[in-house]
Amino acid sequence: MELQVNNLTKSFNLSWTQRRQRGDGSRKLVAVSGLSLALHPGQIYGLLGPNGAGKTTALRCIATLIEPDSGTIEADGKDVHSDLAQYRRHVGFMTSELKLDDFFTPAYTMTYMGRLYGLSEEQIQARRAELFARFDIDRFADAKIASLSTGMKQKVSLAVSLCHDPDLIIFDEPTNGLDIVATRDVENYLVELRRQGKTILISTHIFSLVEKLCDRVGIILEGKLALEGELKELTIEADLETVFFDLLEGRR
Amino acid sequence: MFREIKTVFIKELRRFFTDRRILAGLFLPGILIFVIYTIIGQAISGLQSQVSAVDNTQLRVAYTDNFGSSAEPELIFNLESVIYSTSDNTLVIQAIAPDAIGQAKTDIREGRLDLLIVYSSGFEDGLETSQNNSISLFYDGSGKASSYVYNLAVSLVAESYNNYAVNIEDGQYVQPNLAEADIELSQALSFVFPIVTVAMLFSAVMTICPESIAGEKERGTIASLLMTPVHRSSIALGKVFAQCVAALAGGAVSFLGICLSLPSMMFGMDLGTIFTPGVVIALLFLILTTLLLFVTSSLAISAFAKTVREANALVAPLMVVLMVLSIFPAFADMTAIGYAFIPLMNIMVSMNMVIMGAEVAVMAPYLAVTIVINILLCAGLVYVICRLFNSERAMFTK
Repeated sequence: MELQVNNLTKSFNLSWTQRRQRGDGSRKLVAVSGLSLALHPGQIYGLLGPNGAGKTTALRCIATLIEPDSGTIEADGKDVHSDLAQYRRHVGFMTSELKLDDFFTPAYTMTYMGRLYGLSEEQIQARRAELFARFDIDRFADAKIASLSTGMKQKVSLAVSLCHDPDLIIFDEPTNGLDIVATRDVENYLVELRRQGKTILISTHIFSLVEKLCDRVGIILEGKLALEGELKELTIEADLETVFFDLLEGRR
Repeated sequence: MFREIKTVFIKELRRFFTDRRILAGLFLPGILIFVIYTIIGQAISGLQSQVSAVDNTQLRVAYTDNFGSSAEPELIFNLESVIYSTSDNTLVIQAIAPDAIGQAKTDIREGRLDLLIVYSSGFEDGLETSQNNSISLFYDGSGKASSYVYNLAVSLVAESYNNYAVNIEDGQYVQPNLAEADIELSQALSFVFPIVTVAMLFSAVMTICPESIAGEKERGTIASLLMTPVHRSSIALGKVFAQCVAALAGGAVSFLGICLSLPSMMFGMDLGTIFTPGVVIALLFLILTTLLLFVTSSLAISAFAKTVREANALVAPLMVVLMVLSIFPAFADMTAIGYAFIPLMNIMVSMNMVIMGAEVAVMAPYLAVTIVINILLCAGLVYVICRLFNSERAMFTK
């Protein structure tokens, strides 16, 4: 999927307490301002920025979980808001946070989400077999999620998010809080997905992850895209960490 | 859209019926109601015989003179002994012919007689052979003196005779209380029924609804759900229907508990005269729409709240409001059609009217307005829930 984000802006109303804490009299917080990105199939795009820079808000806008104040998002040249359901069928939004109902089994959770994505029972079965085998979940397919280890829950969460085989994969902080084994699993899987021609957008503040996985990088600071380019181009003179801090401290 | 609603509906039901905590919350109240009400009913029944003692009263007792002995019946003798030895009451005893039983019953209803003892023919002679010995005692349950002397007589029958049956004539139990029992029962029920029914329905709703959407927000699963291509109104409707079914199942068990325990609460009176098919159908419509209203309002609160705790805290005051409203019909006449437009209040008054057997011309429009108001409110609340599902602030603000 070709994804084009044009001049995306999103702000939030501040509560009375938040206004008091900020003390600058502003009633709104501009989380993302004029963000433009282009994502291509078979490419991993890394959105790099400190906490509160607007990465998650940008990703949520692109995933259509929240609506931007202005700007457009186009998938294969078509405004995604013109047919949200169709767009959502091709998008997988994931975070490393566990988002599972503890009282169900991985098998049922997969079936439930598959049905919501409009898959047939045969498609669900096939996808379940593939993903459960890929993440070694098979043995625990019929165990209550509450009884699984944290690592296994994270794998289940990832498998469930990908049940509909999305073309665009949006991953918010993909390795945040994961153990080293799960981190490697996720990294390997993202590389595998890229090889399959998926379009991948990840947000992170981990330089090594970006350097290891991403083809293209956007550095977001205070809601604005401060720097963007191919990873190779950005790191000709210095490593990514140096580039980032130079930018943050105004040396670039 | 139907497939999407069904998917959410099945998932929600699966959640309710595989979680022991929720199952206990849904079905335990009904079981407890049955146990508690039965115990309370029996305790009250026992207390009644103790607390209804009267002083310095002339107690008028009649008995049929066909008991089979030339002397005074043993029961009357014992009754006299107890009354004169334990109280300052006096006893006026009258023997009547069996053909005067009808007049004696009228005298009881009209307060001229307190107790009628009807013996089967040759009662005392037959005690040795233990054949067809029956004794029936009739009294006025609304009269204090009559109730007192009746309870006393019942307690003395066993002491006076062996081999007998009390209040059984021709193999059939006879209603000993000659007061207008149905009216008493209706009055009692019309007060108890709305409170208990509404409390039970609401407790079932409170077990499942506050958690439904706020719980998904807490767990973060709401984002996965909202990322799917499913229309948000389908999610809302799937949840509403599932909560209704679960709450109805819980409510039905509670209702069954109430119905089974009512005979104990109402001292064995016949409820069939009140719960006629018409009354049952009217109550069914009322209960269903009320349940739907509770579910949609609780879900709207759950969609608005950030956490399950907040949702519970916001839903609980509704229960208090309902309890307060349920008392009003007992003290004020709110049967004018205008009151039917007041939500929640109209439910209580409608239930009250249905059980009291109000005139159809008054009750039917009131009931119709109540049901229509309930349905309109439900529709409005479903719209609000759908709007909240589309609200970033409601869904994603922590």
